[in-house]
Amino acid sequence: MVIASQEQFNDFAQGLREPGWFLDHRKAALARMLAAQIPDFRQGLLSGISFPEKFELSDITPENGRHDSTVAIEYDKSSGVSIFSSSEVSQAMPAESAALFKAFLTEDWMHDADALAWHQQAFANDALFIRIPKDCAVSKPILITYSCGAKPLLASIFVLAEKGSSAKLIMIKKSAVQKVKKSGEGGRKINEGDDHNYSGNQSYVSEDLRVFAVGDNEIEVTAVQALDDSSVIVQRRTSWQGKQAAVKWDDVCIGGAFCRSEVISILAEKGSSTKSVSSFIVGERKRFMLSNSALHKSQFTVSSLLTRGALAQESKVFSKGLIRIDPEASGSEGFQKQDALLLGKGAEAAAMPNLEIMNDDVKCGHGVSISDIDDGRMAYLMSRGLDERAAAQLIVEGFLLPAIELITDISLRSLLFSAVRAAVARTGRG
Amino acid sequence: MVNKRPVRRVARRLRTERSNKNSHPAAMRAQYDRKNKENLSFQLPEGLSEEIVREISKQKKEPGWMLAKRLEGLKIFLQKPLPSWGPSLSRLDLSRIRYYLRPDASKNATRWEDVPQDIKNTFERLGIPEAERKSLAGVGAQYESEIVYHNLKKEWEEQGVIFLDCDEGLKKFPEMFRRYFMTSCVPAALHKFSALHAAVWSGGTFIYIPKGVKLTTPLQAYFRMNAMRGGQFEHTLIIIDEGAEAQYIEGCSAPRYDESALHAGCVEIHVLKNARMRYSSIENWSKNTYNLNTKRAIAHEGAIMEWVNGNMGSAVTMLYPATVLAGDNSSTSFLGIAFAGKSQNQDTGSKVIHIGKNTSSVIRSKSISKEGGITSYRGLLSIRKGALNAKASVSCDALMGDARSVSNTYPSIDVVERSASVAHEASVGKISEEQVCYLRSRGLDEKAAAQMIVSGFIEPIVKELPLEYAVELNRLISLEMEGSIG
Repeated sequence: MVIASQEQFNDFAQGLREPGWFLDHRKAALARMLAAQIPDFRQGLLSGISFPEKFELSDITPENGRHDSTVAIEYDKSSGVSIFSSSEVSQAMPAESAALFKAFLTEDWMHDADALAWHQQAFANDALFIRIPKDCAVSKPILITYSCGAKPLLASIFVLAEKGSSAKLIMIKKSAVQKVKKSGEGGRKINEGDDHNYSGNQSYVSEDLRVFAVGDNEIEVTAVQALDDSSVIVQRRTSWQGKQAAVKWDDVCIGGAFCRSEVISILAEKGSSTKSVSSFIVGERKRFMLSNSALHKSQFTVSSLLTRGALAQESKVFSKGLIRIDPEASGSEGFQKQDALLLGKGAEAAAMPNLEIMNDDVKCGHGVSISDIDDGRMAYLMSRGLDERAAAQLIVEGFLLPAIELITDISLRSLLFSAVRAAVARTGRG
Repeated sequence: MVNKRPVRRVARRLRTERSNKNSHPAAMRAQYDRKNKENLSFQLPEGLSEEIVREISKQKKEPGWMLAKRLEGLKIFLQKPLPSWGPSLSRLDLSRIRYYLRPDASKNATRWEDVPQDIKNTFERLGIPEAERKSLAGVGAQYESEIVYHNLKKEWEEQGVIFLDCDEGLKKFPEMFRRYFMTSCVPAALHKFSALHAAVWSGGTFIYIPKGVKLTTPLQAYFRMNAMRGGQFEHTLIIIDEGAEAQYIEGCSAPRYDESALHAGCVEIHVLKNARMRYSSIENWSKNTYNLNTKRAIAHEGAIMEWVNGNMGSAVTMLYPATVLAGDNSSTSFLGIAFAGKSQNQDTGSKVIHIGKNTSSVIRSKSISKEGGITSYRGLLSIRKGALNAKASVSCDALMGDARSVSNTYPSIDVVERSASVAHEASVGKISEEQVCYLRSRGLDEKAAAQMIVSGFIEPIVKELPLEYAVELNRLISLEMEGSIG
């Protein structure tokens, strides 16, 4: 099966006003897409993870490159940061920046890429190029908000953090029109188990975010995915880190009928480090595939990967982790932890925390825990006067604290709390 | 105050061992690698075909249903692709393997004297002396494709214990074989090499422990491949009836040739209601053997299944002993040690499938890699719907001998039951310089210190082995660690 054809690409490319090097990048990706495997979502799970019924991969290619989403960008223009959209690349972007962006669009980034990842590269219909100049410490976060429409959105974000720079990037993805099924719960349908809204009209949102941290950087990326429950989401974040570059990833997934979220940190040069925290809360019959990888390629690199979340009702989550330490990466340390709270009777959690260690001078470890809410903690809280539901809610909120603390946006935070409330309510407690 | 005695005792033991010529590492390795001249009374040409499979069955005078099972196995083997994961099997030329080799020995001798001298010498050299047999309930020895010696102590025979070579078991207890042989536990279609095994199996052990009989001493079998490019496909079928208990030990080895050999054995264990089984094995195949073994047990209500597994030799090992906890209140444990030296790839682990209520499992795996060797822990823990209150814990620790070696961990955990409690942890590291420094300050040289640390690392597994095997494992480890440090 082929997701999209050469003819579709030719039509798509006709309307583009992009420099030749970016078009070449698209063409190379298209060739790889045509040769690549369609992802097999059965991996690691008894019953498998699949796209929602009626969802067709052939529908994810944007017609004429158009999408109906809006992108809002807020940042301090005086900070020295420059942001270009794909249409501005050829005119507004200085030649020096263009050369840098061109240099880092290589296949080295595409660890474990399948046809969906290459499709995103070839057919991206919204691209942002963000340049953080040398030694620039950006104090105000760069906020990018996608309000996604019904048409496929394939967003690429390329961040070039020059030597010595630091910045914080917050990216929020939400649906432009939330499909409201029930009033209350913040006016949004949450965990209404009897209606999965799989109408065959899911909006497809794909995102490819790359951070190129040249060296001595401190970059933080917080990404919140709170799309409508009918959306199908494929997101991939990758960092290439030079000497002493530190990148912190915070990934929060709440919405979508299906969501695949990958975080890949390439610790390419000495002393680089990453900390990646992926959080989720999932209910109904939603399917999440989360992947967190650190590829240690040089000496004294450090990674810490944490994936944690709660599953309600008949949701399924497959969480994969990888720490790979190359023979050259002596003195490195890598740890990963995957924790899942199984709240729903029909929920399924699968974990595959892999380690590939090719150097003995390392410290590595991993851990997994999957269980229901601890009875001892419930008993303690109830002995303090909380009823069963409140106690369970408090425990789940505590469990998800790393995610809750990240979300400063009040409406998104209330969305997360609503999701916790709904998840606990569906367990029949109280 | 630190107690110095254990350190001094170990130092003394190491000194004594070093002064003993027979325990010199080179001499020990030679014991395993030494080959006899091929002395076969019958052999089939190399390669696999329907004619070969029919001929094996004909040679063994098997019933028609077994031939049908073999042919079905061959069909599945030819259809299934090689695994797309794990170590490369590209250097294993299946068309060059000799699938059936009958040694020139009377089958199933029950007196040690009746075993041909060259085979007897081999087993005695490998440390299966008569003295050891005295501490066992029964002993079997397989050479190439056939069992050459089998004996069970009278007291256990009188209680109805059956300990036979599998070919003979099939003749004497056909109904039991029809019910249990490659049916529910290891069906031929499980994977490519279980299908191959179904097609060409030969020899192995059949054990039946009647209801309520508790074997106080272990049963043992030793498997030896001698011929070049040989294949050994022994089948071990064990049925522990209700309330019975048994322990079975297997040892395996082969000499070294320039061309690859294949071992694709199969162990099926049915642990019935409230029964208990412990299966221990030390596999020390030569370093050009592909060890693609299948081991699986079904634990019924209240049953306990324990695996103790040591993988030392072979070029490539793909072995994942599995337990299906089918009955309520059943439990299993797995203790494994894998050692990979130069050009070795040990891909091992354990699988547990929880189906019954209140089931529990503990997996503990240790691995050591050195001189570019690759060890991988690959395991599966699956808690199925309805497996209420399942408890599972997995821990794997890896020790790396040098910077060229590789240690991988690929656990897979799948939970569909919310009342389950699952924990997994793993760690990877090298021999700690601090620990070596401490031991050196107590008078040990660097090599002895490293050996002591390694012994401590594998101690949880060694202490679960019978004494003779614990000694063998410790000696093997020190032999393999020779030259790596100091």
